[in-house]
Amino acid sequence: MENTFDILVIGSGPGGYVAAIKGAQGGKKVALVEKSELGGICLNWGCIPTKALLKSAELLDDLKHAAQFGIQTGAVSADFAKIMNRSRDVARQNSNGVQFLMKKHKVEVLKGQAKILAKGLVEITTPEGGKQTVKAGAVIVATGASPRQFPQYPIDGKTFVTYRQTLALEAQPKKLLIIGAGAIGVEFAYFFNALGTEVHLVEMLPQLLPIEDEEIAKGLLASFKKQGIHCYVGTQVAETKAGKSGVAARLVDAQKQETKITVDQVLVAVGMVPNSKDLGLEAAGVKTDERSFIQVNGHQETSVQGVYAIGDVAGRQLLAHKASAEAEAAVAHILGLAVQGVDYGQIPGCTYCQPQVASIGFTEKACREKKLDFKIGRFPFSASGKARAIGHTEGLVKLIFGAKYGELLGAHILGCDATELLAELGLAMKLEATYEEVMGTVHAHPTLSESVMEAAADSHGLSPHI
Amino acid sequence: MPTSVLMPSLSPTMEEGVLAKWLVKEGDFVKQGTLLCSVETDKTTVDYESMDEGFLRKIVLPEKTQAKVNQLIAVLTETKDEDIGEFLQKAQEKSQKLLTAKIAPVAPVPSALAPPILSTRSPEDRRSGEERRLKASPLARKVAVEAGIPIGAVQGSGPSGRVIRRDVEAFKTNPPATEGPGVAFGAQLPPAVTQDIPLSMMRRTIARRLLESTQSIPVFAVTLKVDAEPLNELRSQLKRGPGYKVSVNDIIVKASAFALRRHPAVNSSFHGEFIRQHGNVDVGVAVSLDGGLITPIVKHADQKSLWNISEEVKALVAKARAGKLAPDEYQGGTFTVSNLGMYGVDEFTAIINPPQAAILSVGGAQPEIALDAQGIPRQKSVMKITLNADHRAIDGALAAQFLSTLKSALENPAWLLF
Repeated sequence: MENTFDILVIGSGPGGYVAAIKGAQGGKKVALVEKSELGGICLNWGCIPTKALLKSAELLDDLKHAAQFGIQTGAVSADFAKIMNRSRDVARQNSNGVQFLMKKHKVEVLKGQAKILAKGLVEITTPEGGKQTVKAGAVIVATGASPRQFPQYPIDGKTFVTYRQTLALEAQPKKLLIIGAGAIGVEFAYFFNALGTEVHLVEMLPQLLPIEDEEIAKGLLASFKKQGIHCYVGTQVAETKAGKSGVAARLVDAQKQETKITVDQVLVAVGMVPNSKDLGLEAAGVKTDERSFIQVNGHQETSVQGVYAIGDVAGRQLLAHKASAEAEAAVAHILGLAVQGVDYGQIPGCTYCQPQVASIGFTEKACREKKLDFKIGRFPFSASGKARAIGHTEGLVKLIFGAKYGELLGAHILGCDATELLAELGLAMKLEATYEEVMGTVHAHPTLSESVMEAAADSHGLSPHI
Repeated sequence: MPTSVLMPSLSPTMEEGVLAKWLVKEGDFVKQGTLLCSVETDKTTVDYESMDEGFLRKIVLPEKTQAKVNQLIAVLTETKDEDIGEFLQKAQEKSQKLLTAKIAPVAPVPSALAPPILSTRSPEDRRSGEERRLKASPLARKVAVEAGIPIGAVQGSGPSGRVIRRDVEAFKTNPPATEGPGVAFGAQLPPAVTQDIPLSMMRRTIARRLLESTQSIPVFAVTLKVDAEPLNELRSQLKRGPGYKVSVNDIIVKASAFALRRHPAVNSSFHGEFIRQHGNVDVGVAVSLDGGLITPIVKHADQKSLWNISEEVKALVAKARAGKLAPDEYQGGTFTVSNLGMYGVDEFTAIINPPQAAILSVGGAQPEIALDAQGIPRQKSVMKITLNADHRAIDGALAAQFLSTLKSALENPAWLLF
């Protein structure tokens, strides 16, 4: 039968397409349903195109400081349209890459909107309105999440925009208000500021990147202020009024101090909601929690046997790599292999503004709240020879180890290439290395990664360089 | 270029070993770390891993054959059919010369002759080859060391059976049970035949050391009766509460350490010109094995809680039965406890394990009618403990005082809670 599959995956983001490939590699007949572009938000409207934009911003930044390195440039300017086009091209190439991978692994791609009719039975409505019913031994829901809508910020793609419309802007805003200083808000703040937009970044909670370590967030705030970004933490947007000359916004901080600003665009980057509606979940008996995230067990199976959920739609950290890890767990269970469930305490988080922020494990505050006995090691990049040579001395490596056994409880990096430096600490955590192994691993000189080793040593007062 | 494979020195005292089994065949390609063969030493059997890479061109020492440390046992080559005639001759001459020259075990030797146990680690981190090969995370090792659990006794649940922290934590709360003795019935008995059983290395060691003990030590024995009721009461209290299962033997180890600390002269050894009183109280526990026995050691038993001792003994026994004890886990005790109480033995006298000066033999608790303080006959549970002592180091009165302290501790087990 043509329309019967072993595994049907709904959604082709970094959760869905990885699940499809893993299933195919396990010898299963797999179909992948996607209503839009292959690769999901990550490849088309998230991780990848934003990194393309940020590269342009960094390059511009570097060129503006070229004289410090003895390089004379003429006047340097950014071509906004070309920057945006390059970002779209990069996204398209990646999406094509997924298409190639699907072909290579003989995964059948079905275009359309999926609806679970019953256990193992899915109806697909094509963009043209045609319907077909597909049978599947296992169904994996990987439909992702969308920006939360607020009645006071009517998203119109012009005055009020989400990250998605921002990625397709035709004109660069002169003045931009960004509501929410999570990873999305912070990355766009850096990007637009670097390009010359006047950026106002507002966060309700008392720090930028509220889930990151306090000390790191403070360092980022200082850097952002130096770069000229107007940051307002512990501040609420009390009112926005759209008029002819743009949007007038009234900001109120914790001390009830008011600030009035006028901008020509507002990027709303507060909260995500799961794409769990219109999938027929309720009728199929798949349980969701009070925030509509699908509830799953340790191997990603929902309340209905044979129906799995992975990625953003299954809650916890809304991160691409967490979705891929869950894809592996779900498929391993479907294939009857041993399932190493995802350890949510070991999911790295990265923000790609400059200086970059990268972390894994507990923040210092979380360690204190859990009443853990811990030791902290720090190493500022200002003490690193390599960082000085390349002109990136901002930031630090901060490592938190258990006091008794020296296990790595948390790692927090602010600075150049922080997101790349984090990898060895993820490995250290996974392999249950202690400060002694991190400190005792010979790191090449001169590298930024030496700072990781130095921070581990500093946790026990053993760093030779600070 | 051919490379020699030599009989490894698997413990500081090892002089010779029996090649128990080859784990690779001639012609096989071996990598660094491939298990080559198992070698039986005086106390244990250890798998020996290759230090080099190459084809196992020739096995020189057949299975079940004995060889001295550093004697040639095999040859590795870079290509599969390399000519090794000349090399073999030279290598054999060389290893013969080394044997006759009797090099000091700590003398620096060329890398090809280096013993497989690397001693580049700090003393507290020195583990047997067996243990170092175990896959275990650094964190799991630290937690195990702190809890006194030999990491080798823990079953790993990480990738490829790697021991991770949660495995050690699980072992701590729920150690695996050991099997009890059993008796086969007539129908299951194999036909009886007369046969000569060759001595294993362990049997040889037992024979040599115990003969040496009985021939060279002027030994005397002192026996005391101990009221076993308080001891049984303590055990049932522990069982009722948090479910701790502590054996009579664990309590005796703890009580012996308690008494040794108070009579340091018993915690000693006779050395001809002097008597060495030991600063450590390291109590060996006799464990019977198939075809022999071994005495793994609870180090610093005086400083450990009853619970820690109980956990450690369980782990050591499991390791001993698996033949995986590291040399430093069974060598160098200062006193030994031998308990046959679980076999229903009344009393016995064990042979001293030289150079230790004394050994405690523990019988089983038996019901007995005895007069109580008011002169009324009552049934009591009584256990007999016997101290065999080396009279060169310990006099009768000291032995009696020691036993009396031990008896008091066993009859007042609350003393052992601190």
